[in-house]
Formats: sequence, C-alpha cells, structure tokens
Amino acid sequence: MTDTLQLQSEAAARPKPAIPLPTSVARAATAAGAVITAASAFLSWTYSSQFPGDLTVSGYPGGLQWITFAGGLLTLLYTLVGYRVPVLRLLAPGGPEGTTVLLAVGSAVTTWFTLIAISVELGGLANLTGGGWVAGVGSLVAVVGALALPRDGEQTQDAKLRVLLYAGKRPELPPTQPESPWVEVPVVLVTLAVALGIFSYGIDTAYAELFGGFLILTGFTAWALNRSGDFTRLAALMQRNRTTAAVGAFVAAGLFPFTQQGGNAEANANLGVSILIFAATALGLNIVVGLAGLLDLGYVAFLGVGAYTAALVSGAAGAAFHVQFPFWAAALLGAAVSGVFGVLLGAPTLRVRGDYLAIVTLGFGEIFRIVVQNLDGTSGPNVTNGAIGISNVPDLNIFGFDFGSPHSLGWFTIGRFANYFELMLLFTAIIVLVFARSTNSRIGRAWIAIREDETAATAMGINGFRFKLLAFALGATLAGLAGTVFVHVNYSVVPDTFQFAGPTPPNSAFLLAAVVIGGMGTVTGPLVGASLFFLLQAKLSFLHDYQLLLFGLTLILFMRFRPEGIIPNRRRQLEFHEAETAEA
Amino acid sequence: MTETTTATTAEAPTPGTPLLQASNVVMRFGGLTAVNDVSLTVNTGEIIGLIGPNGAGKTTFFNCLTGLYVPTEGTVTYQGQALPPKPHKVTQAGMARTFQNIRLFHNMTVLENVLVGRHTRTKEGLISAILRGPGYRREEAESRAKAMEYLDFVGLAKKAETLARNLPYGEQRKLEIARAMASEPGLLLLDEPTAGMNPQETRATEELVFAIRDRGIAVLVIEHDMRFIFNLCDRVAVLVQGSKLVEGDAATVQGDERVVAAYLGTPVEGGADSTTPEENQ
Repeated sequence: MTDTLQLQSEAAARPKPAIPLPTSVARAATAAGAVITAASAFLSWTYSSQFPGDLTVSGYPGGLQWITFAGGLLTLLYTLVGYRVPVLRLLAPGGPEGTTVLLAVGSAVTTWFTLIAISVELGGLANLTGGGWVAGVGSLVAVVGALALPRDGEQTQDAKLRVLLYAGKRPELPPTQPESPWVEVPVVLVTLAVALGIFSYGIDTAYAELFGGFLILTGFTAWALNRSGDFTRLAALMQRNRTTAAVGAFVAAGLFPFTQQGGNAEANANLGVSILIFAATALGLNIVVGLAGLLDLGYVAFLGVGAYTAALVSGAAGAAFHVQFPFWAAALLGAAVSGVFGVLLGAPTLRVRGDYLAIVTLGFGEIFRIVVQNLDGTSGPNVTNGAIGISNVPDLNIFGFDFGSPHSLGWFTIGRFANYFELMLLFTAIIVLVFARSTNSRIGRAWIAIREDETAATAMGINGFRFKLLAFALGATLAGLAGTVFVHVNYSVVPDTFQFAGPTPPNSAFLLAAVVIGGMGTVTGPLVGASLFFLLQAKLSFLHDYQLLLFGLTLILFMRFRPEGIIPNRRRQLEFHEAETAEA
Repeated sequence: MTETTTATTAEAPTPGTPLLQASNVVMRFGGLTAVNDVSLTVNTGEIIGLIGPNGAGKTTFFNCLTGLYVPTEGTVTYQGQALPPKPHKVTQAGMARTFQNIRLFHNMTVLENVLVGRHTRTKEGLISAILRGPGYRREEAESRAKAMEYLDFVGLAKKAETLARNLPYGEQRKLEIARAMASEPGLLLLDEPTAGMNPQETRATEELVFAIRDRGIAVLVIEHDMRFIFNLCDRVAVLVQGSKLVEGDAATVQGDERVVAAYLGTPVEGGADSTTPEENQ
C-alpha cells in the first residue's frame, strides 16, 4: 500500500516525457538527429549564392551552416553524456536530459531560422536544396528524440510557464573538492580561450542573419549549460583560481585584436574598444549603484567631464586652450577633474535618499549636457565649442608609439583602433583592480553596510555622508579616466553623446542597464552586461527605432526571470551555497 | 539560577566614576513630549536597566543618548565630554548600541558584520586599500582576528561565513551584540536584547551581559522582561509617560507602589513577560 502510494507520488513529482517512446529509442533518435544536423552543414542548402555567406557549397560549412554544425555537435555531446560515456559524465552534474532538450531545441531553432531566412529573402521554399531539408529534418528528429527522453532536474508544476520549464531546473549541486592545479588551471585557460573564440566570432559576424543565428544558439547554449550545472562548476573553479582566471582573462582580451585580421579588422577593433570604454564606465557606476546603493541616473556626465577635459588639453584645433599635455597628464587630469565634479555634484545631492536622489542625479546629468552645449561663445564663454563640440582631437603618441597608424607584429597587423583597444584594456585592468580591492576592504564594507541599512551603519560609526560622497567621487574618477581614452578613440567629443537615454550607448540608461543586467556589486557582471549590450546594439542596428523597444523588452524579461543579473553577486552565490549545505 | 546570578553580582566591580551623564533631557516632537526632564547616570562597571510600559519613551531616550535624535533640551556627556549629536561620532566616542528590531546587514556574512563594527577602530583609507601595503594587510589581519574573537565571545565563531540573514533569530541578536562590541565601547546600550526569546535564550543572554560587564564595559539595557532586568541590573530606572518615576536597586523599584500601579500591575512573582514591540523606534 505504502509502496504504491510512494510510486504514485514519485510519478506525480516526475512528469512523463512529452513524447511516449522507449528511452533507448529516444536517445538513439536524438543522437542520430544531432549527427544528421551536424553533417548537413557540409551539404549545400540553397541554389543561389545571393544569400549571404554562400551556402551553395558542398564539402565544407559556410556562414550560418557553422552555427548549425556547432549546435549539432553540442547536442550530440550531451546525448553522449546521457549514454553515460565515462569521462563525459563529468559534464552535466545537474542532469544531461534537460540539457539535451535545450540544445536540441536550440540547434533546431537556429537551423529553421536559417531555412526561413533563405526562403524569405530569396522568395519561397523552392530555394532550398536537399541539403537544407536534411538539416531541417535532422534537427527536428533530434528535438523529437530529446522530448522523449526521461525528464530530470527539478520539475515544478507552474501552470503558466510549463513550456519554458520543460527542461526542469538545475538541482542544487553538492560542493566539489578542488582538483589538482594541473587539472584546474588548464580548464580555466581552455574556458577563457573558448570565451575569446566565441566573442571574436560574434563580433566578426558580418551580416545580421549570421548574428541572429549566433545569438539564438549562444542563448540556448548558455541556458543549457546553466541547466546542466556546468556554469556553476566553472564559476566555483574560477573562484578557486581567481588570480589565474583574472590574469588569463586580461591576456585573452589582449589577444582579441590578433583574432581580427580580415577586412573588418578595424571596425571590429573599434567595436572592441567601444565595448571596453562602456564596460569600464559601467564598472565605475557599479561602485555607486552596486556597492553604495545610490541610484545615479546622470552618470554618463562624468564620462563627459573626462572626455572634455582630455580634449581641452589635447592640443585639438577647436579647443579653447591651446596646450598639449602628455597623455598620462591628460588622463590624470581628466580623472581628477571628473572626481572633483563628482564631489561637487554629490555634496548637495547626497543629502536626499532613494528615489529623490535618482531624480536629482538625473537632473544634474542633463544640466551638464546643457551647460556644455551653451558654453559656445554666444550663450556663454567659449570653452566647449557648443553643440559642434571639439573635433580633430589628435591621435596619441606615447614614447614614440603612434596610436594613429597600424603596426606590424610578426604576421599580425595591429590597426589604429586595436592600438587604442590595448590602451583601454590597460585602463580597464586598473579600474577592475581599484574596484576589486576597494570592495574587499574597510571602505567597501562601509559602502555595503550603508546600502544594507544606513541607520545601522551610522550607529556602527560610519559617516554615511562622507562614504557616499567617496563612492560618488571614486565612481566619477573612474568614468573620467575612461572618458580620456574615449575622446581620442572617437577623434571628437560632442555634448549629445552624454544623454540620459538614447538609441546608442554610452548613455546613463544603458550604463545602468548594463550594471543591473550584468549583476550588481560584481566585477564580471557589468563587464559581461556591457559587452552584451553594446554588441546587441551594434549588430542589430538594422532594427532602427525598434531597438529601444527590444531593449525595454530585454529589461522586463530579465527583471522577471533573473533579477539578480547574469553574474549573481558572491553573497547571492553564498546564499545558494548555504541552501545546498543545509539540504545535505 | 539565582545562585549563579548572586555570585556574579557579588563579584561585580564597585561602581566607579561616572561614564554617561544625561541631565534633564527633554525630547519634544511638535506638541508631544516623548521624554520629559530625564536624568540618568551610568558609572563604569554598572549594569543599568531602563523599564517602562510601551510608549513610555525608553527608545526615544536611547536615541537621544546615541545621537539619532538631538534632544530638545538637556545635555548628554560621556566621560565628561558633551556628546556630538551624530550617531557615528557617538560610536567613535565609545558608546555602541543594538536595535530593538534587529538591524543587521543582512546580505553580509557574520564576520563582515563584525568587521563593519570595527570601523571606528581602524583607519585605513581608500588609497591604502587599493595599494594593499604591509600596513593595510597588518590592520586587516588584526581586524579579522579581533572580529573572530568577538564572534567567539558570543559563540558564533563557527558561523563566521554564514550570511547574517540566514542566522536563527537568537543568533542574530547575539551577532548584533558582537557587532556593537567590536567598536570597543566603554558603554553598551542594549535595546530589548531578549525580545522574542524563549527562557533558555533569555538566560544565555543574561550570562552574556554579565560577561560583557566583566570585560569592563558598562551596560544600559532596555527590557520588558522583569525577571531578566531584576536579576541583571545594579540599578533600575522606571520611565512612565516620558518622565522618570523612580530609580534604585531591584528591591526599591519592585517595592515602589507607584511602579506597581503604573507598570507591573501584579507583583513580580508572576513574571510579567511582555514582548510587544514598541512603536516609537
């Protein structure tokens, strides 16, 4: 009797697969579908080479076929995990079946996205050749097989989201023991190399269809790897090998320009350096928002202060002062002036809390832009050249190294934007170091205490106003530092760049979104969030005005499904970790 | 239970020099006089109790002492110096407090909470935090050692890496005390430290307060638990409707008819345990 009851409750807790098939058949179908999908990338998919990427060639994949190929291989990999292949079993601590479902669906969506794109652009399904149909059918077979696999992970009975939660939630994973450094360090390095590869590929996607396919597969893969528990394991691994991971990440980032050697090299490097500037600024904002808990809606003004300061002392023809400072002096001056502005703006505004602070900072951000716009010689003294801005900012020349011209390094050519990329990477490293060290110190603890409970913090002897002002000033200084590079990369600076909200980053709203979506209070969060945001904005520019709609939609979805951001704060991780140990 | 208590009380250091002197403190909110002409002296090595019915102005008086409120009239001096009306300066001067409704930094670990308490006793700034010189490392290590010592003192050393929010209620109270003690105060102000605790926990808190006193820290405690307060305190002051009704040792206060009428209702043998939170926080 009890047994039956238990069986029943077991059955109720673990829902049946969507398609009733024996497990062995299901697994075989998934594997076969995945193999067919991957193999189909070597066939020709269409008759006409008019579709970008030329999918007419049999023998090797091209363009979007690479995405399908990768999707098929990933599905196959996790199907093999389901077969309990010895070494691969380590891959999915949170259960392979749900992961396989997500990957199979992901590669099918990418494949069908390609097929539909071909049909729409070339006019009709007739444009698909046999290879295309093989790909489409193969990917669907994999999905059917995956949907017949037994369901693992934590299943919830949430009626509204049943479809989204079909793959189950990642179960809480028991903490692992560290492996030897001979295993861990190579894993860290390989992860970083893969990340660099994916990022370089994504940034190099030359046409919107390719970026769309890339985005779909990356999104599903990220979901799948989160579901499989691999991300959790990797995060723990990175945490254990923090120094190696941090240094390795910067080396990997430094290698990025070397991966961009084709015709788009300069454009991609420009995108790379813009991302870095945006990310570094977001990290500065993270001190203010993520650590001290002060909602600043006018933060981009400090990037502007740094940029204008550097422009004014750069020796540009349009600048009011005809002086040319060496760059180190200009950078320090830009950071310092920005910091002073931070104090000047903070001193009056930080006396209000919460929503009021947000409104006041929003106002000050706009005041900066309008003041700069009016210091044009007619409305006021000519300092910033008004709406025209300061243009023809000369390229940097540090120790005889001319940032304006390409340099050859063995087989590689490092162009103008790539030079600035490496410079900005150095600045980003400094900003990361400042952020990481100040977080984990007496000062950082005081900021977090203020964020958590200001009354209790002052009762512990923390001078609330002073520390909030310090956070404000430090955030402003870091943004100013980023601004000094910003102006040299872009040749010019105009007031309209520094708006509260606009279709292109950097603006205050995007910066805040990058911090919140990336993960407040973390180092990597804003970096990842900023990269994602900037890349999306740059690659989806064909959407024009709909971009802002998409931006809003992304924000809503994130706040609904992952309010802690892409990279959750260490404290939140600890929270999860404690749930694990409590259960064990 | 009574034996241990009397034994500890007998060993208590004789009341020494005045530490905290509040004279004629008046706090008005518009037309409402929450605290009316209250004077109180706390000497070194003393445990002073502050009792009174709900809304009597106990927490308001506390807030006047700790700089959260600026008293309308009257002065508060600590070790002969007038206290500046800023909470962080009061802590700096050597008075630390806990809150009636626990106010921990919930998303920080237990250890970090205590480290925040060390704030006034450390001085490394932003630049040294970024440069991480030997001085910074030494101070940080020292701070951690001290913090662990305080956690050990209240019995939370094993939970140093737990998030404060995940502690059970009684331990959150202990952590608040450890955090306050980390600022190395001469006087500790406890606002209803046993609110919501069961008798065992109350008993443990009692022992903890004695142990704090034995470290040379004077304690001023607000409580509703009569047994707790009369076991613990060298002197007890009774506040009723903002005014101090009577002050004296446990026997005097318990014997005072006005107190019985205004507050206790029945003699103390009944053990009037009221844990209703006040609303004037």
